[in-house]
Amino acid sequence: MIKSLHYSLVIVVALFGLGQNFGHAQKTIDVDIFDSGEVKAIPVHIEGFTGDILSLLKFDLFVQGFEFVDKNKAQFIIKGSNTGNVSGAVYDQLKRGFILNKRYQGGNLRMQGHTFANNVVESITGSPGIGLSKITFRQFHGRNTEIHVADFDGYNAKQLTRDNSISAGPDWSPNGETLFYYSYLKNNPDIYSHNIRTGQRKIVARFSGSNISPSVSPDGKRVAMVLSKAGSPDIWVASVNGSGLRRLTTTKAAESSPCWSPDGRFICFVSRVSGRSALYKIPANGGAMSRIKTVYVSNATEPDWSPDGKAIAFTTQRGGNFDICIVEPSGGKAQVVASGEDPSWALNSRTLIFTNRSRGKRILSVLDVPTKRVKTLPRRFPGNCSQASWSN
Amino acid sequence: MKFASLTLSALVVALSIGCKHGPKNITQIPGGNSNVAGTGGLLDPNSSGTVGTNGDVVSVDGDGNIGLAGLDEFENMLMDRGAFSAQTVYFGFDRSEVHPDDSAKVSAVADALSQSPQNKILIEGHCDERGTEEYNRALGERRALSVRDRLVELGVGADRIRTMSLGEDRPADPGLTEDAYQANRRGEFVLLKPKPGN
Repeated sequence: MIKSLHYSLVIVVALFGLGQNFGHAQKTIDVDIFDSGEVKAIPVHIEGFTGDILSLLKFDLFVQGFEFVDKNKAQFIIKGSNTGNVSGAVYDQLKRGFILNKRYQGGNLRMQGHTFANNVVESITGSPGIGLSKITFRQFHGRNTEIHVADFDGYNAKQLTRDNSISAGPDWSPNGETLFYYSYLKNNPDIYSHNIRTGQRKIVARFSGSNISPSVSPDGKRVAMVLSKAGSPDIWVASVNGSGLRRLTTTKAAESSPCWSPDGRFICFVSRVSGRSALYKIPANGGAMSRIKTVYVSNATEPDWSPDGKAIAFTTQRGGNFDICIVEPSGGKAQVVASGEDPSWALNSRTLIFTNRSRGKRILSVLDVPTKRVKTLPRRFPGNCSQASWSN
Repeated sequence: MKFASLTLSALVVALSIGCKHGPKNITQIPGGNSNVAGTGGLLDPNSSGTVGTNGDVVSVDGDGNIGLAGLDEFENMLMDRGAFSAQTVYFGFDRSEVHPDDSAKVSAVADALSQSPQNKILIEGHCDERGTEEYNRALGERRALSVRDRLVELGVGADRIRTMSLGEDRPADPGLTEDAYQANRRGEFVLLKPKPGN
């Protein structure tokens, strides 16, 4: 207690002593995720935090491009306390000054910790942190799968559906209020919207055959999906209430996994129209589909367009092994960034969540794309999990 | 009244001063954990958007895809999984064409359906786990549709056929061997019979 008081005092002194450094907008560090060389993690030293909050901070920062080193090798020193409330400061060893100094109240300790992690990321990189974001995913319950939501590190998990059926393919509305997924609840894979505040659920698409893989547009108004009502699994688009349904692809081959460009103009998806599965895009208002080349890799599936529009992450397959790759949306050389499948971007366009499968087990992991470092979620779920989707 | 408003403005001033010169590095975190409302498994049919089907007209598009019959064509029918359990067809890895060896099985199903016009059929498409999940869901549907197209060629009305993909979620053999994978890449026929009295 005395130590903590003493520490707070130190922070307050630091605040007044170096106040002129605060509030200045940091220049955003532009990280090129296609840089084939080594993108170095930012070396930081962390001290003063303990237990769960220390683990939380280390996880949050690790997956956003930081590494933890000895004090003398650190570019930044992160000091603070989680006694009572979270407080913390960031000292820049090169510029010899504090660039952050904050105390937090309310919420709970984990929320305070995630908020501090966000402030650390923002003070050092200029980009907003992802510490308060959520994930949704499907979890296996015996033969069935249900939709769950959790903090992005796996804590605070809640089961959303209890249908004793197969529910899968969840995707967030941009405001985080509604999930779209499909479920076999009514003995057919149908697409639902589910308001997670009120619990109200509505059918978006229920036609003969498959109604699967919903993906909400960046403005939250439309949903792209795979329907087979016309006799083949095609990409369709409708308003989020299911009205104004429009068929975009008309191939005989199977299409799958639509996702939106961040400007809402294009939908990227997978088609077998040329024989092997490959990435394509098509104007969201209809038009011709065009191939997105993924040089060096084949059997591309499960694309996800990064929120900044600079990359498409996807899965490739060699035999029974899956790799996560990225490619520029105009197509080109694809780069393998991790072993795993079904990537989903965080809002920072650098961190991905994906599924690792081995010997029948499926677990969720997080990848920092520029530094290519992977961590499994610190909080493990009781069942196998897959199809994680990251909220804004 | 005047006093109250004075107090109020004093308070506002005090507050704004507090904001400026107080502990400005304190960040208030709103709320605790937000509520998440799940479901009890009940679905209000009246809250539906487009419940319904693509109508009862079966159409063919420019690519030769035959549209599916509406789901309501298949409501209130009894499912008989045993009737055609010997007719399950199997697919090659990542393939969706009906294998020539399985033609006799499809013909047997077509014959049985032609002899009992009151019955309908559900074709379930399944995959092994060597594919990504959503891809497999689409592949399973493509498999079921290939089987359906063969039945249509053999004279079964498209309006009597329903397809459903289970992707890799319902393996016949949960093993991770080549044999298990082969057993899982399949199309199953489920006979649909009118309920007595319907």
